[in-house]
Amino acid sequence: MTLSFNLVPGHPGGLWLANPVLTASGTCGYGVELGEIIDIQRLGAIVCKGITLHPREGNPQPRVAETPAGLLNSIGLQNIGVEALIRDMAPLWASWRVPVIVNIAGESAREYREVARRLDGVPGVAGIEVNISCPNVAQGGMEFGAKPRPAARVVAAVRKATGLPLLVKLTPNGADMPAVARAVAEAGADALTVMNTILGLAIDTTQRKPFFPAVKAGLSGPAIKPIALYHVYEVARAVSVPVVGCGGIASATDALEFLMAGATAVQVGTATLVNPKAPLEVLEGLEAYLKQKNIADVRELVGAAAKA
Amino acid sequence: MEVIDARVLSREELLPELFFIWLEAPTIAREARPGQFLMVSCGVHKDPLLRRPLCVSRLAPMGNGQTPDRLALLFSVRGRGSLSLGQCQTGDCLSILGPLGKPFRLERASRKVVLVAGGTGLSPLGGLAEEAVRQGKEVTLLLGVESATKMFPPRVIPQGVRLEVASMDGSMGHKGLVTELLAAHLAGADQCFAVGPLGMYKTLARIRPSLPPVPIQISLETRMACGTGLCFACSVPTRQGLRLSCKDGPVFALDEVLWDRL
Ligand SMILES: Cc1cc2nc3c(=O)[nH]c(=O)nc-3n(C[C@H](O)[C@H](O)[C@H](O)COP(=O)(O)OP(=O)(O)OC[C@H]3O[C@@H](n4cnc5c(N)ncnc54)[C@H](O)[C@@H]3O)c2cc1C
Ligand SMILES: Cc1cc2nc3c(=O)[nH]c(=O)nc-3n(C[C@H](O)[C@H](O)[C@H](O)COP(=O)(O)O)c2cc1C
Repeated sequence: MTLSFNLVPGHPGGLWLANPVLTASGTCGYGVELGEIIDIQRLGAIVCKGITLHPREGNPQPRVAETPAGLLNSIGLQNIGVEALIRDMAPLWASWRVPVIVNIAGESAREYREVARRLDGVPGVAGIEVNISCPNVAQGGMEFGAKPRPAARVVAAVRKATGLPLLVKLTPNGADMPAVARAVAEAGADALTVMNTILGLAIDTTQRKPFFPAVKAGLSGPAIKPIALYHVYEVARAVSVPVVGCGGIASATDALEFLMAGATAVQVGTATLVNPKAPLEVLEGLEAYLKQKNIADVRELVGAAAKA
Repeated sequence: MEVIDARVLSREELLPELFFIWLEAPTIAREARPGQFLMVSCGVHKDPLLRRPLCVSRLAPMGNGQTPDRLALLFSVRGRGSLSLGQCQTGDCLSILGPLGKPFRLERASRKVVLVAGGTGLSPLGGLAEEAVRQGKEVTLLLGVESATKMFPPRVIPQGVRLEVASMDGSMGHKGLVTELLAAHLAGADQCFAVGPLGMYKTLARIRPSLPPVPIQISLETRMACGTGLCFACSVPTRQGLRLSCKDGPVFALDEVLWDRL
């Protein structure tokens, strides 16, 4: 039974993962935190918290609210900054078996490029996930991801700055996702992550004002799964680069749906916040499914429901 | 830290919407210290989705042993999660994750400690009081309730402590805020531990200069998603920069937190 695969077949060096189960950015800290709870070395890859050129404090409290089967977050990209990441985290990652992909964000194409340049060649950094889809920052983030041209500009800038495998994480908010997907693939993306959170709002009815000081927030969790699945299906048909499915995945069955819709790998996010073992349980469930159905290679499932 | 299915050994509704639940949880109870907390699943089929943070209120052995293998939750109903948690029955299993966070730092050398509980702030302080009494310390518990009808029944008041009550309506003990009792009791104490709503901490921070300089530890109730340091939802501003309530706390020194930014 084969679970391993090359996540970025179009990239000269490739990036071989032991299996298609990854963590989603912002839901496993810098990997170290999740590593204190479960055996992360068994996973396909770790995608760390979004990182920016300078450290960010993020948004004021409160930062999370629960919705039916969902989670609204307004973290605001709190992070230690790329220099501290290279100094304190990358050396740890370099000793891990599981590859670490660094999620990056910025307020301008230049900032993205600079973060990517500094990560280039750093031992312990296996790839970059370009977050052009964060709804929780005042500038940049999602704005880049909504339109093909700005999205392609950011990706091209990052592509010039590094030879690392590049994943580009797309937003469903106000975007024609297949069009953005085609543009960033052309600009040098080796794979696409579909998708980031969906914009949402909560109101504090006692105080008659928005619940979050930053007003808007990103919705994640089981509530968004069918939406993410639909976008994966659409994007996978629009581009030839691999698609990594993300959004509400909490079980092996969820993961199978994403694979069959056209994803070559999946990321587990909010589910890990509820149950830190979730990524391992998804992996074990996938293994059990392959065994039970006598499927030799997980790649046989990719796009199985999208072939028609 | 572990995720386990803990069996409900007993469930009591102490007062309307106030629950006291004992769980069989040997692996967690063994490790837990007063001030640490659990993330508790409150629903079936992931609804509500998130676990709720609740303090480990008491620790005790099941039989005659020394090592604790059961633990108690003490909580009031605030919304959907706590409402459904209160409806559990003896024999049910609850998925719990813990122990989490940093415990209270109770110094061996402290001889006299003062505990200040605002309402269900009694939850973690109950266990701390028992520990302090076991260590032979002199323990004063200042307990604030809304009124005599909201007073906790004697069996959840830790034994061997000197108890002073304050009620908002004056129907029991001192009339007013529990923090108003503090000035009279803090002199001569080595440590103070206070747990209650945010407003209580802000009051404490404000009256701090007028109080004897006894170190005060508090436990913060910050909204959390994971409780395990993964999501950065529960950041709080401190003099040392941002700290995570779930990993670096929930226990903090009162003077460490930047209260005007919370
Ligand atoms: C470390 C810690 C320990 C706690 N220990 C206790 C305890 O021992 N006894 C007790 O009665 N209460 C305790 N609380 C508060 C308790 O977590 C909340 O009352 C509970 O989460 C409310 O959930 P709900 O579903 O009833 O309310 P809802 O309002 O429906 O909850 C919606 C969301 O908001 C969160 N939330 C709502 N109120 C609070 C709050 N005050 N603090 C943190 N999150 C909140 C919930 O966890 C949930 O994610 C503790 C909180 C923290 C952070
Ligand atoms: C608390 C939290 C923090 C997040 N932080 C980031 C981030 O820093 N960068 C990013 O690209 N996505 C971030 N995300 C989005 C997730 O990686 C993921 O795309 C989204 O939550 C949907 O997947 P899920 O439903 O499995 O959580 C965050 C999500 C949550 C819930």
